[in-house]
Amino acid sequence: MSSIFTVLTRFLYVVIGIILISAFVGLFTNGIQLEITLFVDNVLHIMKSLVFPENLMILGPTNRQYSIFINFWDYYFYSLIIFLAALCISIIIGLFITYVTILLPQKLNDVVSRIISLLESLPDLFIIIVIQFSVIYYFNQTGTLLFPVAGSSQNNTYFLPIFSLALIPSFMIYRINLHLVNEEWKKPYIELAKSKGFNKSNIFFSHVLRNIAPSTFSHSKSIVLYLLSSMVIFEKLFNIYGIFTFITSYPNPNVIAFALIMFFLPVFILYALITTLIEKKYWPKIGMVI
Amino acid sequence: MYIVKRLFINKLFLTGFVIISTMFLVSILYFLIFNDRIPTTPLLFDSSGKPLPAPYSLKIFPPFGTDNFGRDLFIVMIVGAKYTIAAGLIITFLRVFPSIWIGLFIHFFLQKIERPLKSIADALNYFPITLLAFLLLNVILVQEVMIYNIDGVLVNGPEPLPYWNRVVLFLVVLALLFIPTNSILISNEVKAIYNNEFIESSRTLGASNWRIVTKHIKPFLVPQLAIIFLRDFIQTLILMSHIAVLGLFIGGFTRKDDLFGQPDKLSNSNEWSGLLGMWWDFLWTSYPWIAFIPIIFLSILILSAKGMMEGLTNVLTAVDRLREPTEKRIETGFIKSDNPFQRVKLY
Repeated sequence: MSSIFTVLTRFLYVVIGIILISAFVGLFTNGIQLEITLFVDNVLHIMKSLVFPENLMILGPTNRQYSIFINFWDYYFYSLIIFLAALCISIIIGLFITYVTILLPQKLNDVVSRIISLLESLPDLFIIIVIQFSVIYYFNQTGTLLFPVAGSSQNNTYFLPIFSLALIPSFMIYRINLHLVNEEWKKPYIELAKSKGFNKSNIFFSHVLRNIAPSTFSHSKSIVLYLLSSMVIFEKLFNIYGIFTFITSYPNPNVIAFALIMFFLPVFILYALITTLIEKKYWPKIGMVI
Repeated sequence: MYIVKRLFINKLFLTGFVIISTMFLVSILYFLIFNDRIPTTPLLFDSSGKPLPAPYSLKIFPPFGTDNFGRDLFIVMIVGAKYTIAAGLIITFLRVFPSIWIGLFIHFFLQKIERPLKSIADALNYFPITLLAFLLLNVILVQEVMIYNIDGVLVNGPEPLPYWNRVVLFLVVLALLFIPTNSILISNEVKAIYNNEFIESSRTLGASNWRIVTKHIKPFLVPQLAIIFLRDFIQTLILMSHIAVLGLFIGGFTRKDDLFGQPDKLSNSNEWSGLLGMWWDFLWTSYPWIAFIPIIFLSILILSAKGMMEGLTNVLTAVDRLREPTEKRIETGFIKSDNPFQRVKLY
């Protein structure tokens, strides 16, 4: 129970942080006006809009005020699907590469981990441009478009942005996991299991994975933050009409705060669920996670 | 000094260092000798007198060809190198240097409110940093007066700031965004060093805070700071390229006519991340290599910095291992336990 409480207080802190920063951004909308009164006004305005969402208005192209809810949810769910899918896929890919590396002999193991650490340090823009270019090149050569490279307001693209977004975090997860697994592999119970005749993949899935899962989970915060920060770029480069496009086109402080808080809500719910599940099932308290 | 000597024997560190400093020095030399003059080719015609389309390929103008203004891209890259590296270094310095003092201040004078401070700094991290940088800089770096239509009346947007103010504000804003996180990080480092026994004995003997910082904390903190500096340098370059994709970069742009008289944007500083943002669209044209050039250069820069960081980490761990007493080193192979029948912990 206590862990749910920590996740909740953490969420509260994050909400306060987002409100304060959005109010600060509000000082920069009409030129730079660093005034305390404006800041306080912004904070109050944001809080009012959060309690009464009908105050969330944007200025349309013809200078009429619209409520954001005409199309906000389309943008929101599109981004959320991409974000959560990328999170899941990066964890799955990360675990899979770890598993494969464990099975390899030691020499190949070193080679693979070196290649991955090189790939991880490449800037994400490089990876995006290579992926986009190869899809286009294949299209030029054969005339079949494997996946749509960019979306439009009518046609949403899913596969390519999710895959490219998941790629670098999966390398990060791999690096963390490999470190944890190597630590775990030195422990005496592994030796016992080996001497009893279990093979490597058996030990990995029934013992090691279970023991490293809490640590992997507690490292996943940095991955969530990384994904969030990259989402802004991905929405631009893949022409995704997602929540960050929405924010950059209508940068009103209350819209920014509302959109980001709504975006974090499911993430925190997910974390609260997993934390309680973990606590109940096998492990002792794993502490503050997100 | 010993660490520095070992660093330059380390292959990874040396390669990274040589690549970065060569790029920087070549660019500076080009500025000193040719004053950043970029050779431009006029419109070319084929044998029958038909004009050839403007971005000329790498076969006609090795090694990288030209852009739609006829500028030699290799020289453009050389000119941009110094601005990229210098901007990265300045931002990183502005991020790390104030954070050292703030971190020390937090550790020595604000110990009581350290926990809430950390929670706040942590909560601030959840605002995507690229988005925040974009929202702030979007107003600061405005170049042309926008005209809005409010209630049927045309209203001018904010006036653009003078050129150098924009450059300075760009550097300062990108640095400020990371100061809270960095200060907390450094205060944690200081705390870890502070828990050592020798600090306690020094304190018992009556040493002042200043003496402890300069005599006992500094030798341990400086190597950590070097790692933080390199890590932040990489992060800064990545952040700069991200906001360049969103259309904001150092120096801004001027509108100019290209070889066919079509108006197009031209980067003022030719800084790599800005070029990356401006040239991304070439990927969809029949000259995709133009989009690749700045990204490849930037990746080389980032990988070299990463190599320096890895080399530094390796050297530091090696030095640390030398510092440990010999008995401890021999013992590590065994399971240490006081009780021979102790249960093996599974987690």
